Amino acid sequence: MATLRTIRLRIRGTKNIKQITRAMEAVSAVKMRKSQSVALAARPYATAALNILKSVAQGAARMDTTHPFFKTPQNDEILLLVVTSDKGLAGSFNTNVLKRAMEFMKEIEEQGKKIRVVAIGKRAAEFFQKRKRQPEQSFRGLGDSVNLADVSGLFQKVGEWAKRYEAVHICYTNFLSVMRQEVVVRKLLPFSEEGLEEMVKGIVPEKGKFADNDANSAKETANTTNKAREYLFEPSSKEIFDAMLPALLNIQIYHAILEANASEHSSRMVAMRSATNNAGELIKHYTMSQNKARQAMINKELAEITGGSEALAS
Amino acid sequence: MADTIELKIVSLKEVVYDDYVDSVTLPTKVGEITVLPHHAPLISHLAKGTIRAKSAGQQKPFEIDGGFMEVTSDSRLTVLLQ
Repeated sequence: MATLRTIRLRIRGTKNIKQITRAMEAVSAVKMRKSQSVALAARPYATAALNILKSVAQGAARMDTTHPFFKTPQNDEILLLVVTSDKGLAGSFNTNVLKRAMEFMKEIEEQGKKIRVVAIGKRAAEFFQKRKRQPEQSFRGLGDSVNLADVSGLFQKVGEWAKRYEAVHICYTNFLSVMRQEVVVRKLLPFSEEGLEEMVKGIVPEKGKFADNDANSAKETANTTNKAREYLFEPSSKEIFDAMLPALLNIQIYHAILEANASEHSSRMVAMRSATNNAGELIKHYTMSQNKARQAMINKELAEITGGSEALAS
Repeated sequence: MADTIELKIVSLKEVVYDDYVDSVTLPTKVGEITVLPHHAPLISHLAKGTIRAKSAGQQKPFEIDGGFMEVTSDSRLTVLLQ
């Protein structure tokens, strides 16, 4: 049995851990609220952007455009953007993303295509380096509610990628609620109506606290209309494509990162809360054994004293 | 809602405006245009300037730095601000 001293030490240690995890919970709660509001505020914009993109994609399909975002080279090389966090201790947040990414990569490789990754977040970069898959590029420091300007380094690369890869996918965590996040893989490039449709549907959860009814109804109307008539592009389709497509693509990536951030902080907060609870349990458990050990010692001493006095009396 | 336009102006931070209006004047890269109900579907690039939404004789101005706009065939006008 552990001695009284070691138990006391353990209790002290656990209490320290509990304090730390509680502080981390509080910190991530604040960050979560912030990143959540940023992500939720960006949703109507992202939905509207995707709807416009869809109209453009319809128009482009008719016009047989050669814009690199629609016509990517057929070279069997696929690029995957993986969005993780820079820091750990966020429960299964990063594990889930990386697991999904690995699954996706295996699928692609089984089709006989080559795949490269772009790591967003330190965790992804380290993960892929360890597995001998040098990331094409890695980005970090995008964890705390980014501005559009912070992501510009990433955006500059996108045009290049469109010319080099057959398709670009992004693997990120969609924020559904504090307790529920969903890892998704979405196709960014080339633009296709089906891919965009899927993204629009993915943005807003169907029900629950964060289901924005306005956005949901907007999705429906967008689906039923717009089929019949052709769009005019002003000043010209080429100029519109050149200016608008990169901007809207950037919005998609930016939005994915925002969702991932909200998910990261929620996930960390939940993980830290359960860590705090577990530490509490552990302290209770240790206190119990400490009391037992103390009582056992007292009993032993009492027995010794009574035993001694009886020996003297006789 | 037969002869109105559903105008929606969104920025990354918030939905700036979302209501039915009679007409909208927007600064595009090639000059100012006014969109009335039943406008043909149009996608255009907006320049820095002022969007003026008219409803029931009153004008509402919105200063913008640029962005994109889409008019759909069912008279919905979406403006994405930069």
